Amino acid sequence: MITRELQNTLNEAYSDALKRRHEYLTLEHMLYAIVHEKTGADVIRNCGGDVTTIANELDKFLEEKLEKLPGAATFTPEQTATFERVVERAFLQAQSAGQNSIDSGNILAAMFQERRSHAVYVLEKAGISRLDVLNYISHGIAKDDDDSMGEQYADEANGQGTDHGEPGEGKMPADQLEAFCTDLLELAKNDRIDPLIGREAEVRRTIEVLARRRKNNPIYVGESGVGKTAIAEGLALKIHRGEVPNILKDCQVYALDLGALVAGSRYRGDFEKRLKAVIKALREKPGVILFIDEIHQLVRAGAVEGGSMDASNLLKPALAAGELRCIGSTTFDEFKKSFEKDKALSRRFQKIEIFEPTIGDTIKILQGLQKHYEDFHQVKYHQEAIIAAAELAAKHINERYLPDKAVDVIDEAGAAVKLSEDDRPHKEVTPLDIELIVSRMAKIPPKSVSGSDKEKLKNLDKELKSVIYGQNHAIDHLVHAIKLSRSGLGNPLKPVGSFLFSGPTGVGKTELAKQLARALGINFIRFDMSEYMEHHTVSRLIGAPPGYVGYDQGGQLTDAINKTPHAVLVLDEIEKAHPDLFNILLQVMDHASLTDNTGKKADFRNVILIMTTNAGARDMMGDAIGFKADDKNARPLTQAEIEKNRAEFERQRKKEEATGTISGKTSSGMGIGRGAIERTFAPEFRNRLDAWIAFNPLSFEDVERVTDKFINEVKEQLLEKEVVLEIDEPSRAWLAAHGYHRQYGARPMARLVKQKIREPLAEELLFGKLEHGGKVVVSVKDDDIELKCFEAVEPPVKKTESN
Amino acid sequence: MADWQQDQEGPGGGNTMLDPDTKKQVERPPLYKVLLHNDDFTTMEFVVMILVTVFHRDASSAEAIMLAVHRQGVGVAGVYTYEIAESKIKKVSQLAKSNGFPLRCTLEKE
Repeated sequence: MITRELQNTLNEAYSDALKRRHEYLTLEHMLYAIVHEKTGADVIRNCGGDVTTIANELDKFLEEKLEKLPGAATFTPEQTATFERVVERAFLQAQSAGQNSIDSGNILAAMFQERRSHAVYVLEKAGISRLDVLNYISHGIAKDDDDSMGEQYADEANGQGTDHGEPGEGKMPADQLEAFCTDLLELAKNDRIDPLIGREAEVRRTIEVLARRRKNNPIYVGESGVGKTAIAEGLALKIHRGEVPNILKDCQVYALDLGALVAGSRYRGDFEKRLKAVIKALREKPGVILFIDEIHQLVRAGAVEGGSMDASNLLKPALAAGELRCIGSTTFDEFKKSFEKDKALSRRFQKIEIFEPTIGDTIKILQGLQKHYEDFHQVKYHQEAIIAAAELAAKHINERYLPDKAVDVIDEAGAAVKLSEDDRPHKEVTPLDIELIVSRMAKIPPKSVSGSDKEKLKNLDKELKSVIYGQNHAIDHLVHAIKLSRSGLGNPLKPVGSFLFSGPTGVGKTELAKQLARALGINFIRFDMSEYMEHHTVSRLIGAPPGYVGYDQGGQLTDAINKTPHAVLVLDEIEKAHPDLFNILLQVMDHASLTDNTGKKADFRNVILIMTTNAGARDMMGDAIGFKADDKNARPLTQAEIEKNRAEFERQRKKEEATGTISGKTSSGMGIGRGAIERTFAPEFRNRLDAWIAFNPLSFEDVERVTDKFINEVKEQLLEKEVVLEIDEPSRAWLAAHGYHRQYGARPMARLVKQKIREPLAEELLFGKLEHGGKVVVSVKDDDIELKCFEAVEPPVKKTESN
Repeated sequence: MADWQQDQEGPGGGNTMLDPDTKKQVERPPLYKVLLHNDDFTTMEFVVMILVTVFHRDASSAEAIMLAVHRQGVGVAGVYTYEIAESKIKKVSQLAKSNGFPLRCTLEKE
């Protein structure tokens, strides 16, 4: 029934009495033991008592007021009747409450009925009542929670509040400040404020505003994470260190805890009462600056439906009169949404905009904080790591702001290195650690964070050419434009590049964009413009106008770019888009920015804009490379035609080699396609493009390479099934010839491979000869593909064993 | 507690509630005198024995207290906290009862 802890406590009390040579074991002995025990001390503390004071007092009492047994004879301390009663009462109470065990909390509660006991006197003197103990042991309600409620409750309960003076008078004003505010100078004194680095202009402006005679209230407006709170705290630190002009030297800075003001205000008017009390306390103390973080919460806080009284209205008189100096902070969004609407309130504040620091400033800030994080994590930060943190955070972590996100990176890197198992002698955070953390935070492959852009750029064209066939001029063009932009010679206020890819279907326009994104390690965003053919759908990209459905949702395009500013943005089949869309694109290409319906700007400066179109493709299919645009193209070519095609390509290529440029081919295509492009796109649109790149129809050789690519894909897949695919030269040629179609590019090839190879094999793989692996031989018979399947000579299991 | 009663019937009528913030005056609990009362049956020796064993008096002061009981009808055996006083009285009563003496032992606020 008794917890082990209580049993120990009772034994303690007993031996204490024995040690002191007290004839009786009294409640005081018990209480003395209880306050020295964890549970007991906990109860005492949460009921508002001070354990040490109580213990000292009891000790004094036990020493002075209780007689010691004379002599040295051994004896046994006897429990007093009171003692027995208390224990018994605790038992009874626990029993009737169905409790399984009693602990010192029960004992404490039971003690209080002994009105004449000194133990109870000591407890009550410490401000602990039976109700406090009961509240805590049964509901875990600490007394502090209860206290302010009690006070407010009492004021209200008094009914005619006027009889009892002003509300909130029950407590000393200083108490109100303590209860609902944090003393920032105190924090500064205890070294709990990180130093403020840079931001001189903002601090100077703050001090100027604070030095005004009236309306001396600055308000910081800036995105979350740019360091608004840090500036306010930094000011407190400067005041503490005396690094401020004389008028601020003796100021105190309190941070208002709105949460504490609201929490536990159960009755109508509690909140106002507390705020009023805080304001009163501040008014009485000259030279106090009140810092209200998230000040927009004051607007409409505590307001009732239809009523005009809210927290901000309580503040207004004090603010206007200059009696109260207040620093607010809020974000642009909230400032606009709620704070600015209350004109009477916002005119009393002087707006100080806090902008995101530059990468350079962020590095300085990180260097300033470096020591704090080094001490905390017990690691060292390499200088390069600090720089990398700022740069990579700025580049890869989106929708958050410097310096916050960079600080997060070094903090997390520090933690990671601290936790790492390897035994580096001096744990040092290297740029590599930073890269890993950033890739983890931004959820992108580490590869794309690491490595310099330079390396990537250098091999960019080779990499692209290895996956996209026959479009070398397009790749060259694209890579040139990107290199130009990255070299710093491009226009920094424009997107990295704006390209129009034109060409027939299936030649790799979209694929090139995709591969470009992959090679550069940046995001690939694709919008299919066939979804944006109507006038009203354009608004989906930048958000619906006010009053329309979806106004609050923002635009798809602007949101996507805000989320990943470093991206390849592909607008597929741009010619299908509604003409309004071109107007939007004009400013994207010109100024690299787009404003959505809520006024938020999306930054396109790091975007590679690629638009693809089929316009002009039909023209380009024309005779430029020597074929007649006749109906032959609509059906598979005959063998004779294939031969003719080959010869024709050969001739064409020789001609190109003779003229010395590959662009001869390009320009010839473009020349023909130009008419269509010019008809489709307005001059101002074409004018803003970095380049219009015409994709060639796939040549015969390209198609052969594509054929190989597809066949290899099938081979890979079959290998997983333990099936070996053998294909002879004639079949390859047959596939190339029949899968090639000038108008459709490489896509018919995929269809042909599917139809001729994959589909027949499916049956065999599932139920036929190839069920347990085997071999397929592909050959040509009667101008068609023939598949011969052979069962595996040995079951594949054995085969692997013999291997 | 009396305050509480009054408050309930205060100016606000039945709904008026206690103002828990009123500083409760905590009073130090008094000490109590343990008194031995004279009677015509308890022997002087027994009273002295009680004073020595229960109240830890030395022989001479036990004698003096016993005589005070005898002459003035009542004598102070000692001053204790309520808790201890109560326990001592209980012990004295038990001892007296088992020895067949009607010795009365009470306590009084000092």
